[in-house]
Amino acid sequence: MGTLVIGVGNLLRCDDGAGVHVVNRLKELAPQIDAVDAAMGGVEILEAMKGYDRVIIVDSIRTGAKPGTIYRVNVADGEEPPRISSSHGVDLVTTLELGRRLMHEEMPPEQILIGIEAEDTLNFGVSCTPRVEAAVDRVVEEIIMLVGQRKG
Amino acid sequence: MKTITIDPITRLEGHGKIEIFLNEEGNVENAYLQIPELRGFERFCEGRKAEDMPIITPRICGVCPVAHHFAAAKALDAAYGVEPTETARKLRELMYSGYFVYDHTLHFYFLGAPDFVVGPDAPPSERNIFGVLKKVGLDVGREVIKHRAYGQRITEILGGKATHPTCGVPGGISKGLNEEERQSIEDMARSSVEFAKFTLGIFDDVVLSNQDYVDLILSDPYQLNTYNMGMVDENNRVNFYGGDVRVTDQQGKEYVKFGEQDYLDHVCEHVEPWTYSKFTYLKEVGWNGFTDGPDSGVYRVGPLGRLNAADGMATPQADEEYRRMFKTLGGRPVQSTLAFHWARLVELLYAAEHTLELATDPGITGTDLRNPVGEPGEGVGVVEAARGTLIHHYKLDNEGMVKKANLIVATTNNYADICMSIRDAAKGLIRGGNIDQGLLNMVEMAFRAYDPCFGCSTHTLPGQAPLKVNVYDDRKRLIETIQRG
Repeated sequence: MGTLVIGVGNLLRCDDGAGVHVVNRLKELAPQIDAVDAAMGGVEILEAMKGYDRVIIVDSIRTGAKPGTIYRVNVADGEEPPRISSSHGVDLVTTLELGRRLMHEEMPPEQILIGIEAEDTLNFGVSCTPRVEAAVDRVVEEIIMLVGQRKG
Repeated sequence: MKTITIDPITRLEGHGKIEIFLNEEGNVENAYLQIPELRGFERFCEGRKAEDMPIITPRICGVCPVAHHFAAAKALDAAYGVEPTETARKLRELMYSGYFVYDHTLHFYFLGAPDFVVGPDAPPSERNIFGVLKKVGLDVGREVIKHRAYGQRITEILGGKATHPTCGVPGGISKGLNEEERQSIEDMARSSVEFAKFTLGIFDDVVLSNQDYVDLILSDPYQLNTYNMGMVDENNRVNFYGGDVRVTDQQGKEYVKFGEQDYLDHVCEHVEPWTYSKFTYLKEVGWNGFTDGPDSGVYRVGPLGRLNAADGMATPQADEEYRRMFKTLGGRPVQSTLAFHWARLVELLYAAEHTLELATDPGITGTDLRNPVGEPGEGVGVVEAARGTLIHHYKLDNEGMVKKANLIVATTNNYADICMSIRDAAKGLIRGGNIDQGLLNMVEMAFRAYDPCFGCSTHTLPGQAPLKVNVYDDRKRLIETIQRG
């Protein structure tokens, strides 16, 4: 059933909203791609993921690297996802692990996490800082290319 | 004086940090939960269009979006001097009950149950949802996910979006319910009632049939003899969406009951220099520091606060559970912090029953969705968020722009209680400067019972948050660090 893009984050907290900005941008530029704003993430994303061949989850992260740095992890390949401890209830790693244990057959075999290193997640603001903004654009392009290669 | 710091590091910076102060004998003197809270959200709201508030405020954090949405919508009703239509009020309440079903379900299985089902002494690596599922079975896990999704779907049907609803407008609601949608909500509600009863059954089997746990719930370190607050209907039964705010005293008697527009006559905020968050207290009793009893204006909100502040539940099966809880734990009020977990499940059943009640109400598919609004002014909206009383207060200018906004969130109402509960839990585990290794678990249990949302922020998953304990001597020199994560 193709690819689903999920954006996680808080649109009001500057760079924390990077994942959601990616989704909103995709809706404008590539409306043929299924993309959802999952805001706080949480176990509900499992319902949305059901039946897709591939899911791409975009979230902002903080590892101390240069803001705008992009991380890519292919969960299905067994790569260790970055330790993202969530402030939104249930973290992403726990959520995906729950999906694997509880509804394995329905989960997308390919699961890609894209993390964008954030600079400011504490102040209120509806746009990202410049370096993160640039990373959002790069991730949008990358997803359009990736999905285009496989028609949906 | 020694200082012990427990620092849960979460994805976002600046979240809660626990500091425990020891006296010269090496015993616990005081404990504080620091909340470097979100600063300036109220300022962020100023100058925005009034009708944007129900859309913006749910995004403060996203954990209880529906609560902020309707606190905002109700504040706008008041500010524009308009009452929602009958159908609109029912639809708002229907969506609100659905939100309680998914929020309380998440808290019990993911946050509360690990402490009990897996056990307070279990290693952190097992005190999590996977440990719970190992005990109760994977099928239960599937049911949890399913019923979470039901709650989200109800919000989506009624609110337009699953996480961030857009339906609440001053004077009513922007979208009605058709018969097909109503039927689907009825089906989900029926299933939720059964699931709530099943969950109470798990609580019975795992917690109540284990005398050690019952003793733990009733043990001294987890008692706090405060006032209790919650919203009630005209018969003094728990109501999440509307009614009056009722406060009961340490004997369970009504202390005061007030309408939402009058909250400022009864609730005051106290400021401490070491935290961004404020502490609320009852104005007439006064702030008396971090103490409980009738002379301290500190009160508790949330599931236990609500059940203590009411005379019963408005649905039959939940009311039965309400009575059973108070009977088992020695009568109202129950002041045991860990009883929050039981109270939460009584509310889960009420929320499911109330969802079903409203979904089968003949008027729910009505088409009278909105009343015309008056002139913009000032208004207060109060709702019971899953974790306690939530207050939105706006002043609008004559163009309908927000001039001033004040938000009091549930965790602020419980903040002093949380600090005291942490202090009391730590007291039993630190003696003469010796720190019992069970400290982190017991302290975590104390604050998790409240389901705190720090500055509308973090939920700390049991055993998962990296924890750090710093021990300082009386000259604030670091002498020991205990770390997890």
